[in-house]
Amino acid sequence: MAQRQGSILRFPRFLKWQFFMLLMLGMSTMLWAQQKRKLDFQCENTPLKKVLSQLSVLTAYEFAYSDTEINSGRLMTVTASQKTAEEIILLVAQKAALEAGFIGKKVILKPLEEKIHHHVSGVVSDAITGLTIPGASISLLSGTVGAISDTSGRFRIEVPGEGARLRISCVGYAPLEIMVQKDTLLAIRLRTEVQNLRETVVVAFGKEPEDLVTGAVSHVTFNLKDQVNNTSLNAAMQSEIPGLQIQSNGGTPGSSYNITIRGISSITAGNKPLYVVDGVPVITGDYSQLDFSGQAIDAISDLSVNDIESISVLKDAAASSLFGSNSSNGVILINTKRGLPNQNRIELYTNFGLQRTTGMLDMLNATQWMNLVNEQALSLGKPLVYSDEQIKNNRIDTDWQREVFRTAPTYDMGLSMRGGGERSKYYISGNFFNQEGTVIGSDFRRYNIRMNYDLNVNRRLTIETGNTFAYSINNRVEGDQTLNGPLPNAISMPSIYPVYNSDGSYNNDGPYANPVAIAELETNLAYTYRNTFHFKLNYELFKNCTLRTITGIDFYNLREQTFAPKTTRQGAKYNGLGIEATSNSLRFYNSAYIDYFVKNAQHRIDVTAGLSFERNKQHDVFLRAQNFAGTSFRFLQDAATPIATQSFETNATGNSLFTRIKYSNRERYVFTLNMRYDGSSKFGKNNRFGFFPSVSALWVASGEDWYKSGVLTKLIFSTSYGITGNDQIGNFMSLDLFSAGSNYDGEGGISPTQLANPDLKWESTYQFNLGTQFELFHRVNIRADYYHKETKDLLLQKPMPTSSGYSYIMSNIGQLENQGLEALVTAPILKGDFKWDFSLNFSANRNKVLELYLNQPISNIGRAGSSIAVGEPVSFFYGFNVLGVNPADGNLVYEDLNDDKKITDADRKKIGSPHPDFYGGFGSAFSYKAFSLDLMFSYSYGNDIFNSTRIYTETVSQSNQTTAILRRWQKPGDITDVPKASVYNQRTSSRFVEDGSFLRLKNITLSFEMPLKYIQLIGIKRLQLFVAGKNLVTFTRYSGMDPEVNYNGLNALALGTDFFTCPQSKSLLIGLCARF
Amino acid sequence: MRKVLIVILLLAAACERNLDLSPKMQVPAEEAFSNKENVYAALVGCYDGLQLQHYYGRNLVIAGDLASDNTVADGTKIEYYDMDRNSLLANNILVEGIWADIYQAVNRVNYMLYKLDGVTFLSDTEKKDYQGQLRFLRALHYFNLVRLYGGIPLKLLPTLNDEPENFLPRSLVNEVYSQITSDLEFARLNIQALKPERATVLSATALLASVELTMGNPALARDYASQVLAERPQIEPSYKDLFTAASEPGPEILFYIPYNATDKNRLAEYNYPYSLGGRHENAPSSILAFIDRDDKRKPLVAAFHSGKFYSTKYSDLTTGSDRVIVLRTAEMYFIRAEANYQLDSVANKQLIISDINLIRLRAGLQPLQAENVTALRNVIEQEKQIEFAFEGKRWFDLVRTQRALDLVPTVTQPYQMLFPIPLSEILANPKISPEDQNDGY
Repeated sequence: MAQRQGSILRFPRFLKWQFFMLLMLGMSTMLWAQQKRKLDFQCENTPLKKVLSQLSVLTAYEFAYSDTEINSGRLMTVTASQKTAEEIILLVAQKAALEAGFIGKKVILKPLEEKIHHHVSGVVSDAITGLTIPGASISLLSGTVGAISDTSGRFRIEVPGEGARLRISCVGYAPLEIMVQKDTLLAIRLRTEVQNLRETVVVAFGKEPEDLVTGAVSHVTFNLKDQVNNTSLNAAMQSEIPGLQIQSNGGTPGSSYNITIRGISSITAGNKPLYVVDGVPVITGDYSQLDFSGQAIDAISDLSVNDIESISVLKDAAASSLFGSNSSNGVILINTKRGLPNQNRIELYTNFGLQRTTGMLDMLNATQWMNLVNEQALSLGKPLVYSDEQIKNNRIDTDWQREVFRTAPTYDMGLSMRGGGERSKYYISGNFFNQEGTVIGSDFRRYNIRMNYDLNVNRRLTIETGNTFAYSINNRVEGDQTLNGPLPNAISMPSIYPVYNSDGSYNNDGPYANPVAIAELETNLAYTYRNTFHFKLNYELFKNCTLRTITGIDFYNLREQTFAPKTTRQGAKYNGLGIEATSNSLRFYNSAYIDYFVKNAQHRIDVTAGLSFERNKQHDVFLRAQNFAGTSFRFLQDAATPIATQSFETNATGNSLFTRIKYSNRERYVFTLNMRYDGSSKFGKNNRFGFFPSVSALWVASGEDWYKSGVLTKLIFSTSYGITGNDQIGNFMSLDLFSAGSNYDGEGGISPTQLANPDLKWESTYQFNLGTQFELFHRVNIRADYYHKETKDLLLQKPMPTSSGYSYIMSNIGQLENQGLEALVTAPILKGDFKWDFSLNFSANRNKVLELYLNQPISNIGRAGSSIAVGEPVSFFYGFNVLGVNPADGNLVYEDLNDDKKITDADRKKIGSPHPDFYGGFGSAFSYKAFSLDLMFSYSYGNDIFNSTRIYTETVSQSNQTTAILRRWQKPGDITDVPKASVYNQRTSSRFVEDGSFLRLKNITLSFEMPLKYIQLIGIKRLQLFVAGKNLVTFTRYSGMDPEVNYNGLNALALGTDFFTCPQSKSLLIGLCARF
Repeated sequence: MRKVLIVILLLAAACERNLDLSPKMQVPAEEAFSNKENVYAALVGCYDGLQLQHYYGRNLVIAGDLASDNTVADGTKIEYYDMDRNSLLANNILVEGIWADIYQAVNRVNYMLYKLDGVTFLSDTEKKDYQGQLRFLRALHYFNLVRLYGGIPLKLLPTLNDEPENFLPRSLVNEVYSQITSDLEFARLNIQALKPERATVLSATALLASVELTMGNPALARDYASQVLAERPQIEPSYKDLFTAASEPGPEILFYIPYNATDKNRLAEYNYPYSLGGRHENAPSSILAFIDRDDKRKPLVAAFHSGKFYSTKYSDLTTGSDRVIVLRTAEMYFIRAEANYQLDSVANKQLIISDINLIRLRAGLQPLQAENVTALRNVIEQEKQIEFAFEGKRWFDLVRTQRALDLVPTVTQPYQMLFPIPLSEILANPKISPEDQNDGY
């Protein structure tokens, strides 16, 4: 054990062995290459036939040819010294104008076909800017000849003659095919890729042509519109991909998103997809120790969107099962930008924006508040609290929301250098992102550096590396859950209190802490330091067979610091409160696999097989101290009383073997078989290993000879079935444990805390997928999928009778299913000068719990009192059904379900669901000459929101109220929808359930490409200016501040609940993108 | 092919070894009782069970007043309002939490008692001392449970796995009480500990007095209370000092639970008003708010700030280090007085009044004169109400005497004098069905 606890960088024993094996393999291949003998050969005026027989002795090759085809009596003169056998044979063949084909130890000689040699030259340039494009690849469709445009965009290529077809492609541009007419100079004008670049997509352990991917994979190439959403990768992906549901947890800067692929497939094990950056699974999730009002800090937000080239979302088992135990929630593969051959490109991207909140609540002003308080007193038979005089003369009417909301700037800047030569490529970038929150006291800054470097060492060996450093500072304010947050306090604080006293100090009267004082005086900082590194090696062992290794290290460090000085209400409670918490996580990943394929004109078989290993370590420290000397010393040595001094450590390992076999027949029928065998330290001794297979098939119907292409110009069907796993639970949950920390009277104690479950095993998801892709009139592309997912052996806390001394034991119990439809439509509606591309995505998921422990519901989740029950979707809202307000007594009339004349727990039922009937996005990209306009809408329909804010803002209490309270029941006979204030009316009921459907203009970007002639003078090759707006318009009937919020991002089961949640911001940005 | 198989097997073997991690934060159960230090740490862990947040760490103490006429809910949490209004749902967080936390403490004790049998490295006296302390704790746990919930599962063995034999049906109330008395008798004979933070012979006797009074045996209750008072007649001269965390516990305190900044309780936080940084979930009722202004207990029971009354018995908002007193000699005087009243209220009148006057004098009040006293029962009751306000005892007294029906306006039906069996217990325990729920719920 001692050894394992050593240096984190030491390779585990198992890995050492693995590396040694790879090293040996590589070395022996190279030795074999060097051992090839060098030969001398000479002949003069010797008949070819004789030359060949001499060669056959010398080189041990046999020659096969037909005397009728070649002139074997031809006299040859050849001189070769220190050449390999193959080189000599090729030399002879060349001199004899023959073509030599090697098959094993045989050489087949044929006469060289008569070729008319044509050369075609041309220049590749950008269709809009006119700027030449270096590094574009030009290839002959019917052959193997290829060329690359030089630094001034010029190229020269050999073609068979007129009628030959050339294909010109370049990253970022739509590929173009042209027919060669004459030997002329070709002016090729490439258009920027507006739609997605659909050549190959990255899949698990490899790349595949998009049309031939048998699993359900969505691929998106990032562009300007995504860059505008640089807050996080999740924000950029939002509503662009069918089947991917991304919900904001609130509008605080740097806050997290709730993301699910094809529905919630787990209840208590993790629900988050696996993120893989450049082939390496990375650390994601929240490591915060300060349960910061549910505002999670997601580790994935350390990645800058500016560095992302494209993403692939692996949705079904066929696509993701190669990631085994981590894959049942789907996988997001992220590919960062890499270097470009034969050019050097410097790009500057920057934008500046202003944001405001998307919504505010309509609260009572001071006069309304005072009248309300008086009326309330009157109805209780108490004396009036405020006299008419006081009401009339009151000068204080603070609009607390205006005090805490502000117009806040954002700033984003990225500078990248991208280029390379023939053999090496680089991408180096630096990014700075700064966002101030729309609520005072909050902001987020992030700095990233990335270096991607690729090297072709030789024909066989290529190396790919990536190295990043990220540093971010998240200045948070408490929200949502506490009465110590600027926003919840601003909403709750009656307007009669001033922000400042007449002497300029903060006013601290009032039922709650002064929200402005909290924001200004308290310190709540979270710093992340992130370092990732990956190293990939590809070595061609022999023809069509490549050995690949991937090594990745991800180091994530989160430091949180809070300080509440004694001048704040929170701080006063503790005479100054300070917390320092750090969390260090290390993820080490290594895999090695072999790719091999064989093919002929009809068949092709691809095999990928390998192994992987990973290790996760986490170490946390938590320190809390009180009694601070002053208000300006915020570090813990200034505190007199240490309260908590804690540290934790945990670790987990996983090992896997995996293979994929893919067979393709004329690219018309494709079959894939994936298998993965996984072991995880998290499970019980009896069930550590899991097997995750999947099969899939694809049929290109439109490729059949009999297919008559009419309306449907392309038609493809695919289907898959497979198993994926989930091990996202805490470590060591299968063991019987006594924990320390049960201290008493200053002495350390231990106590039993966990029951053993040696049978604990994977949660498995069985997924079926049926998909089709078709194209109408060569124009409209549609991809539609139906899926059915059934998750079995759910990792759930099985409830124990608490009289046993335990509440739960981690077990594999229960089942749930998700089934749904998703579709993506893309259509270039107009082509030509005025272009219009349209896209629409649609997802509908139906989630249903099939089985729970003894089919008992799991209830009271979160502030909506959500419930999980058999036959219903996960976390539906559960409570009393309100029939109306009783005009006689002003109380709500709850539905008495069991008719026992009493309102008890038994009268609760399903009162809403946070899951939308369908959701997605649609957008259009228009372009005319140098202008382009991009619009992206996102929508969600049929989901409910539990607005628990209203429990406190629509009842008479010491909190300020929304103006809805003015409609409340006051005297018998009043007919209204707002009941009188009473705890009875505050119960979890349908009163607080609202329709959460919305349609939102998520993004609008108008950009202008400066004509080259103006910018060339100052050395700029491309300049794009843009104006963008985010969340500018929202259509919803929801009465809260924002329909796209959820109060507790840390609880994956508390869905669709608003509780003083910070709304998202709407923003307007201007920016530019320049290339030098 | 064979070579391939061998390679795969080798890899699999490497995999397996690699997956054998052991936790660094905890110890496997088999190691927990392997040496003297660990056994002692486990005993400390059993005492720590008292500090759980739904137990003496907060909610048991609050519930004991909130359910009675002593206090009212004035915070934000609905479960406290429901407790205040005695309209409890079976899934009320207090109902669920108090049950779960006390049973967690019970399981710790049972686990240790079970393991102690096999321990060879302790002397017989040490072992008996430990067993005595543990059985005192178990008696206290069950005494609290049986008074709140009625007949309860009487677990005497630890839960070792999730097999059904670990789950028990409800026992009869008298079965629970006979276990409590037998545990306390054992404790009285075997405990060596002397500190008031630990179970002692004296605190076991004091608890027995309270148990016997509750069981309706005033004679035994009086005897045990007198035994305690014979050895420890003192009461703290200043009422306030009883609750001052900084001062050493005086002789009046028979058994209390100490807290420090690490294992803090949250009573101050829940009792203090918002304006002072608290939550005011448990506030004095008008009865306590309007007690005699000269009563020295008043500032502790009903202080006033920004329009709100609140208790200052627990005043350490900063670190939550206030002690929670479980047994003190003052209660023995009350038990003796009440037992004497029940045995013969006329003959014992003078004795009763002298016990009560001891308490009244400390509170700075005029002594009662025997000739003026008419309703002696009410005097004992009211005096005890003020004396122990915010110490979580009033509800138990009102239920024991059935007076809750008269004094607590929201208790209108006898069934309300028991809490419901928690819903989660009924759902998860195959031996307790919904029909076994307490009447009325």
